[in-house]
Amino acid sequence: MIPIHATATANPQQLRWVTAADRLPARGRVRAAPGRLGALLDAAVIDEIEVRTADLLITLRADSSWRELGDEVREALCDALLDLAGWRVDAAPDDTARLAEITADLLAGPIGALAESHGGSIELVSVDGHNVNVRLSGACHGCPAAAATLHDKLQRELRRQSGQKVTVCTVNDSTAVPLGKKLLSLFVR
Amino acid sequence: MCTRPKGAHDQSSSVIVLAQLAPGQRATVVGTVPQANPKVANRLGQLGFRATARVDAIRRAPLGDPTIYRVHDTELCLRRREAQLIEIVPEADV
Amino acid sequence: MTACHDVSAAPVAVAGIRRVALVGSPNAGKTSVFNHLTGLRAKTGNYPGVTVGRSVGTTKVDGVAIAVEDLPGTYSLDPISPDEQVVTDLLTGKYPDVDRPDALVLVADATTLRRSIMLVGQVLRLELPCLLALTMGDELTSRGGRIDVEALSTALGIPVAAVVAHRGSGIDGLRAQLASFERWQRPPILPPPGQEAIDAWGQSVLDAADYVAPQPDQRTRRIDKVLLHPLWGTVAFFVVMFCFFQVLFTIAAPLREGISDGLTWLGGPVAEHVGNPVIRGLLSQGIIGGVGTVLQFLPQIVLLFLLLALLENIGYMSRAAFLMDRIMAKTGLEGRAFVAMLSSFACAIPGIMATRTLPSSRDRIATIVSAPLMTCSARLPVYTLLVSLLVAPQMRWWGLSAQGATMFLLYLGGGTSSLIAALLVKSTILRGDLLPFTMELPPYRFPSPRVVLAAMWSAAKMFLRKAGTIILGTSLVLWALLNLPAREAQTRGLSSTDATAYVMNHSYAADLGRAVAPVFSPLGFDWRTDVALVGSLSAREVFVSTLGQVSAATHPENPREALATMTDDHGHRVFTAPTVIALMAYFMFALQCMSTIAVMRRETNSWRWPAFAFTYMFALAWVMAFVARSIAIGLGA
Repeated sequence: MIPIHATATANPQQLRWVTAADRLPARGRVRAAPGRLGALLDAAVIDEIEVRTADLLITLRADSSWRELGDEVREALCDALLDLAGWRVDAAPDDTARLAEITADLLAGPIGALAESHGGSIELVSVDGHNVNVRLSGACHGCPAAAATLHDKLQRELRRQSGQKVTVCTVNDSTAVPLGKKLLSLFVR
Repeated sequence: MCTRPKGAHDQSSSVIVLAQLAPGQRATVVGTVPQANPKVANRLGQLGFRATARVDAIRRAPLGDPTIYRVHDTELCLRRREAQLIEIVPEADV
Repeated sequence: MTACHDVSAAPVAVAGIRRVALVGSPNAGKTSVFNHLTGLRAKTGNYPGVTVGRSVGTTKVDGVAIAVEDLPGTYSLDPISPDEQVVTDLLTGKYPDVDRPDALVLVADATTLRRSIMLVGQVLRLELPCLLALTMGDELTSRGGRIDVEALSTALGIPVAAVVAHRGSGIDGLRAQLASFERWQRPPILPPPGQEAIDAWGQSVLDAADYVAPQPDQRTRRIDKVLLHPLWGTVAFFVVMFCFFQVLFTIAAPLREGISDGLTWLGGPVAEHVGNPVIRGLLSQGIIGGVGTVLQFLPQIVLLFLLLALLENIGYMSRAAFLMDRIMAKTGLEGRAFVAMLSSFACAIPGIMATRTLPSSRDRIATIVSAPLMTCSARLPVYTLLVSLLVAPQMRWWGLSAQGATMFLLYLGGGTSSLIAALLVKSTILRGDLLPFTMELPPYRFPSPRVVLAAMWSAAKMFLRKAGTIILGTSLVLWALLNLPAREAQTRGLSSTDATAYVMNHSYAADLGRAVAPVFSPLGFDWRTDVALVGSLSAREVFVSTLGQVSAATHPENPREALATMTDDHGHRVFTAPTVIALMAYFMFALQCMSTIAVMRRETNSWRWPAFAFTYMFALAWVMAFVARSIAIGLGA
């Protein structure tokens, strides 16, 4: 049996099915699927299936309920995932930009505020595939506890919001800052 | 059982029962013997002796029975009578 | 697999108190959570019609009382024994006379989550509002494990509260949530049915929660190297059991005497102030004596439960049961029954109460009906008297004191017959159930004082309320039988010992003694012995004093002289050697103890088993006494 579980989303007709990334077909919107799942999709009982990096979003038709169809869909899904070759998926657009957008939102919002409350700051350096590089400065820089907290929280939020297995990397400040600036910062603290 | 035990030695000839696992050895659970009472088999599975689970034999009681096993982060003891119902594939000595 | 789709998912809507039940496996810290929520106000009893224990208490949230029920610990909702069937039936609303709970609090140990996630999946399928209380989180992190509680909550679809039970942190938050269970988050779909499917589901959920399992507890491993070592472990076991036993025997005994003395002292002023001798007797001996009989067991019970709770909560009890299981298995019981049997060597009453730890009700009943055969401390005064009548103090057998050797043989006889009885009962009328013997050996942990105290308190409370009333009642009845009619006219002018003897020999009990004399005469007992037997139904040691009073002995507490020369109506000596031997055999087997019967009634939740025990023990006692006597006569004693 495939390890898989479902969690709720904002839309009551939609559930997020979480399973290991290597069990999923290519990312994007599903056009056709093998077996019973495909039949449900074709019959429009299932409105839409979207494959993301670490989960699938399955949306039911407006007048059906997960309560009735839950077991059936789960079984169909597990069977379908055993036959990855039988899936037809419209590839998803490159979402580096989307990831950068989500990160920027978080840094402008709760994560940034958290950093400031510790007397430091955090900024986005670059997004590279699933890696998000950030730089910590101020009181956060050099404090392992704050760095760890910020790192974990940011990573968790990014994963949740994007549905991808994002990794956050902190870029070390000292290697980028030339000696002069460092001396200056000693005086201007 | 439809899952392949991950990393287990795929030699069906090395399937033995848990009662034969000596203290200090480690094995992977494959399932329960076919002639086991289904309710007892179910209960053993519920306690952690399910397919793909790793089991360690820890020690035997001074009088020979029961034996303490470690499975899924718990230590529990089973009598020989029940240990004979669980099929395992022992791991090679390290 | 329980098919629950026919039960309505709506909570029981009553205008009464709302009910939350705690579900979880044993050793998950459930009882600790229960005690924190309900304090010491919990009531313990049984579920209707069965021997399964029930604990219900209340907790107040914003002034609203909520009933909290601590369900028996289960590993699975697929029942394999009648006890477990009770829990499953209760949760699915199929248990007669008991309503289904309105909401459930799942209590799971964070360090064994990979196993208990299976139970979580099963419970979620019940479609009741659920909250997961995760205990031992601190232990999880200290042993190198990790979990993201929020992510777990999202993955499960139910609220999750982290609770550190022995510290009590998180309890207030948990309690606050109990009032609003209608608003608890519910999973969007139920976990799949079937063990394999739930296993896969559980794996996925734990992955999503970044669960890292803890490393094996190093401290436990080090301690177990000693305590479960074939040699040192066995030594340690005997030391622990010896201490356990000593506490019951030597610490409880002076406390018991203290209570007895205190009540005798109380009887003094009563005797002075009450004129009417019947009322005086009723008050001082009947009532105060009866209360004394009840209270005298308290030190033993409280101490026993203190020790049991300590050993259990530290984690040693399961190790002791592990060491003893092979031996106990030969009697059809299991390792955990050992403690009950051992306690019965001091007194069967705490021993019978200790059977609560056995998960199988058949094992519990078998232990309960055979434990009284163990030579308890009340038999000691009777044996001492009888041995002194039979064996001269200076006699020696192979260098050993003959009196000592006889006592030892009597003790041994009691012990072995108890184990044989258990074996017979378990192999015939209480033949084994499917329940496989499995026992978890939890890590060694510091016992929570709250849990230990709560265990002591609830045991004492239950004994006093349920058994105490029966014991007091029978004491009064027996007092009346032995001391009425008052016969004031006939006893005026007689010395007090002669007066007592006269009253007793013409009392209702005497009528009873004469009436049952034909039953006991083949054993060589005369009617006065029978009167003493009737009197000692309340407690075995009473046999000595009653016999003393009946025979008008100058020292009723030590009537050896009077009894040795006592003759029956035909002038023959009553206490000949065969008769004494018959009496010994009789007391080895007979259930001459109303208090034990009362506790049996309480623990088995019916009169059937105490009646059975009394009957079979009486029959056994009679037969063995007859056989012993015949052999003695045959050998020319």
